Amino acid sequence: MSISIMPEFSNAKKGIFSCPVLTNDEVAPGIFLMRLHAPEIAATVWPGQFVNVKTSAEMPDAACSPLLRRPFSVCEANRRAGTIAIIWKIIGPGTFSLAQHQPGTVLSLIGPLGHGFDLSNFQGPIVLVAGGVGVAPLPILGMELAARRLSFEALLGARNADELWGERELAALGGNVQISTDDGSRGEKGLVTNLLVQWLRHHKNSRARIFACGPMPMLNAVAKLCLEARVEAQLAIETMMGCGFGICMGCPITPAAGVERIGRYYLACLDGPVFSAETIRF
Amino acid sequence: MAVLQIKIRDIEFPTPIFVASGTFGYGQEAADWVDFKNLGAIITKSIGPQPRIGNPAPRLFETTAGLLNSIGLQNVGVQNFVAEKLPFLRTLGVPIIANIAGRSLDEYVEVARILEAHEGIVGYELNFSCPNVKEGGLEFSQKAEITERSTRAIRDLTKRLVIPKLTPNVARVSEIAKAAEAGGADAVSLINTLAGMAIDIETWQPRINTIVGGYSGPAIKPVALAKVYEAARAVKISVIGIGGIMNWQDAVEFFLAGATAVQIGTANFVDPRTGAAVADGLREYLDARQLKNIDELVGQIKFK
Repeated sequence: MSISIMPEFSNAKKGIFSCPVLTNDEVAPGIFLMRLHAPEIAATVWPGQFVNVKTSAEMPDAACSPLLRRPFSVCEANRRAGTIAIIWKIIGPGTFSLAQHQPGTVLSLIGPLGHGFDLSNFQGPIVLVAGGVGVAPLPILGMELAARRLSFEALLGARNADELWGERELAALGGNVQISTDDGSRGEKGLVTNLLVQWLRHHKNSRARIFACGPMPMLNAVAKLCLEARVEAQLAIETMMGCGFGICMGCPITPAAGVERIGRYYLACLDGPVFSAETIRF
Repeated sequence: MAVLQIKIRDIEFPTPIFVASGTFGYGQEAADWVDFKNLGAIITKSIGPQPRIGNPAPRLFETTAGLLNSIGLQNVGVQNFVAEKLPFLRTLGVPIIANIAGRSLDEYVEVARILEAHEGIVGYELNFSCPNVKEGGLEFSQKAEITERSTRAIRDLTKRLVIPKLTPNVARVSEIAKAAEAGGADAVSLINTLAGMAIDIETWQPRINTIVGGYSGPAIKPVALAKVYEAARAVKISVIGIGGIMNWQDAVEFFLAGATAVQIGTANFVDPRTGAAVADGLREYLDARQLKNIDELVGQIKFK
């Protein structure tokens, strides 16, 4: 693991890159982790940023279905080895297509894209919260926190024990990990937001910062809990995108103050995918 | 080596490969990582008299080899365009065509008058065919007499190119193209998006916020080709072909059907370098057949 501090994301230099697949493994039923050789992206990616991936192999006149790229948070980055990892669950043709690739296949990636997590001026405890494969951006965040010698807690939720991923990775980075599953097959039974409720109850007025990623209903719940507790929360949202770099305008997010007052919708790809909880409306 | 340069009326374009309105922003978003040198023209995101915030989510839905959109003409408005976007566009060294969208003929005229006072624009593409806003624009290219009158109103105030952009959602696009020609247009561009929809069978709700949206992408290419072929046979002015072009082979089909130039649209969302790659492929195709320029392809479809 690199000890050096990651560059500010204003330095992140995006581009389109042809990236060979190094590994592509089913790490849990229906959940895949892919490592790619992507030195340019690995060099400047900031935790919370994403890559937009053409899910069919790069070749002349690549397949037109799936047509658009699919956005994935960068899960891990190794600057020295020039590699990045992404993780996803098969939910449709794009994620299915991506799961079929063997090592050596070359995929087209655009990245690093978007605004990542705000890692300035920590004044209290740090808590990472994930629902399902929403865990994606947390390992790279954990690496950065570990490099800064900051300790953190991680609350991971999954449907069941089989679909849980990230516990070992975050623990290896020094994280204190708590688990919840919908069916109680690992850790506490119930939603991961219950773990957050308990944590907030035990850490009142703690000047904590929460980093959360997962499905929109979960993020909505996290946002409400944190706003009530007056705790800062950074949410990495999962949403449908077209281009990923601001030209299609297909990923509007409503500002908390209202579209009329702000004068525009935010775009998940440019203004996000990480938003402060108080800035957006669900 | 083949020359890709083309002329529409007396205006020269370095290549016949343009990027379509709404698929390339105002040029800024991709400028530092995409090479623009092969592009013939950049057609801006639609410009209206006032800023528009556009439609709420969901704005996009992908279908088989196609895309439904309902962006709702989100744009910065003509004053911000002139102040903030145009100075940058001028630095790119690529001809700029401003796409104008209005809710009434007065609004088209108002925007064109303001743009007339500013250098660095070679022509106006008139968005007579946006399906995603209530006030439409759509009727401007569904009724021939309105197309002619509206085209004439812009023609009368400018020497720049006037290019109405036509909808495929009509019975006879050739009638609309002829009306544009009669109104003084220098070219017509087509097709804008087809009316399309999709429904979520879990929630029974429409997939995009306006229920019916604009359908684009490689799935619509055969429809676009048929409309371009029909329009090109009906008018003497240039026809600019748009619809599902993903690579140079697609572009060659449009030239053979009668297009003088083509626009790359949805493909930019997948790879904003598509236009440059199409121009390269086209040059090689012409060279391999010892053709000197695009004119030797335009409208050269052969019948047995």
